[in-house]
Amino acid sequence: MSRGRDGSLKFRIEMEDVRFSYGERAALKGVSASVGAGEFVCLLGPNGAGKSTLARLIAGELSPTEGGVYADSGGGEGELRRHIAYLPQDLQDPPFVSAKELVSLGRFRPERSLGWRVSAEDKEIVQECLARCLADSLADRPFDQLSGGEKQRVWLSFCLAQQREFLILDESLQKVDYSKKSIFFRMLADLASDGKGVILITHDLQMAERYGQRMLALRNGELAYDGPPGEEIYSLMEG
Amino acid sequence: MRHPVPVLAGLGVALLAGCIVGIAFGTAELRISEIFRALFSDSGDPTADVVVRSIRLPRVAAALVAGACFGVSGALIQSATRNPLGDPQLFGLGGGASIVQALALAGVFGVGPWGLTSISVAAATAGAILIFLLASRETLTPARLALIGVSIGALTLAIAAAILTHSRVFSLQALALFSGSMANRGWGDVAPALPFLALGLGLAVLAAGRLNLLVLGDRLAWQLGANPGHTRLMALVAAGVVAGAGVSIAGVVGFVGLFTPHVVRLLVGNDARTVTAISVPAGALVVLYADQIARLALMPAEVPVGLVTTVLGAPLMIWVARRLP
Repeated sequence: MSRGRDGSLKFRIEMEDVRFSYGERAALKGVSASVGAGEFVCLLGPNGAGKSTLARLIAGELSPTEGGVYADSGGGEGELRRHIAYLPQDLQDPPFVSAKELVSLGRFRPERSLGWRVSAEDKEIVQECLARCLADSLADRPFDQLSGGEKQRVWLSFCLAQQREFLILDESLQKVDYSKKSIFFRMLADLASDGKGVILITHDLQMAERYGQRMLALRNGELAYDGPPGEEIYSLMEG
Repeated sequence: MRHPVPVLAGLGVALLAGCIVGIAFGTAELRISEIFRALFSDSGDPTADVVVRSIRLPRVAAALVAGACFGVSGALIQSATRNPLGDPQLFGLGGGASIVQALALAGVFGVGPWGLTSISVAAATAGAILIFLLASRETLTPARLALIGVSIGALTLAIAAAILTHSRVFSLQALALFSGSMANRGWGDVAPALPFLALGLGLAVLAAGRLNLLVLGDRLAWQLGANPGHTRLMALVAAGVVAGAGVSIAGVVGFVGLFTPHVVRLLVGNDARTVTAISVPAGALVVLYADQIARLALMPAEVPVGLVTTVLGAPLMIWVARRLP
């Protein structure tokens, strides 16, 4: 663990020989990697390669069958959960809430649950996150009436509003307009420059190559590539 | 979020007006002075005393308590299951309690009002736990959960009807059970429900702080530090306890738990804590006014209060259902 330019604590997520099985089917067969704050990592791989399983393991939703996922600051998996904002794919639409109300829930503080209120500072953060994700015009609309791409922009705002050190995004830009995609990839790269760790699961190799600092590629549950963006990733992803 | 205080003030005024109508108007014509004397001292007129103290006042109280029960139960079910169609009757909680009431009408139970209310509450709570088990499956969409709930509700009401048919109970009491009624409710019907309303509200307060997070789904709620299963169980048990208490007073009054929280959201916004709290007086208001229509519209005849709430609630349910994914 180290300190960043702004003095805040920076840590790494360490994955050590991570194995996971769904019953008899092995989804991950010994993945070892390390991702630090300040990195924008694109996690790639064909369908069924184990990308989402790895994201769920890092976020603490699943526990490895063997091996481990740790913060290098210690404290085990519980420590990681407090530092990670994780956006799974295929979320059900939350009922009853507007886009702004949904993003405000990212500011929820469990220790003050009954008396929790969205403070003036929280409102500013929510507004800023909505604007950053080009969703400020959607703020007062009911979430369940937005289009798929609009919903993803609001979910991303929700994730940013949590202001956690790591973002894990599982195909969270998939439905965003192609014309806006580069804006979001650039935003994630900027977040990494500001000291956040970003792991984005994506099938968009061109964008990943252009904006990602590093690529992790899974194939059949094994780590097939870990390195800077490069041409060889295209051949790895075929099939 | 809009500020709830003006809404609460408006509800307070409307509740007061409804109580005045409930006490002042009815088949027996009483002067205002007689009503006041009967309320605050002995009027000297035994008829006025009986009409006000033993008929109208407990009926108003019954409507208020039953309405509060159904309103808050619906709000809790909707938040806990992320389902806009959440309603104690539609989801079968009231149906469980109605089976108990049917068994009592058929003479199977030899228990008093307190025992009967307790068993109704237990039955509704068992229904709530069943809904909890179903709603905890992340893959179950709101529409599917609603369909399962409606099926459970229909089945429980069919069982209650079968019990009454088998026992040859075709009385007005049977009609009152299935269509909801406040007729002839006395203090003895209201009092046993009060501790359960208090218990349900206490559990609701314990769950309320994290209810908002449940709209995100269990995975994100957990990421933000909540224990979604624990919160949902607490909220649904609270919903079951108050639904059972409500049915023990009024029978099956449809749609109050469905539309009260939706109207409250239009008034105060979507914060689950506020919606749950305001649904208590709002539900009371709905049933109180529905009961005034039920007993005064065709006076001296009465229609079941459940018919009035169904006429109000059915169009809203169709509107809500059309917006479901």
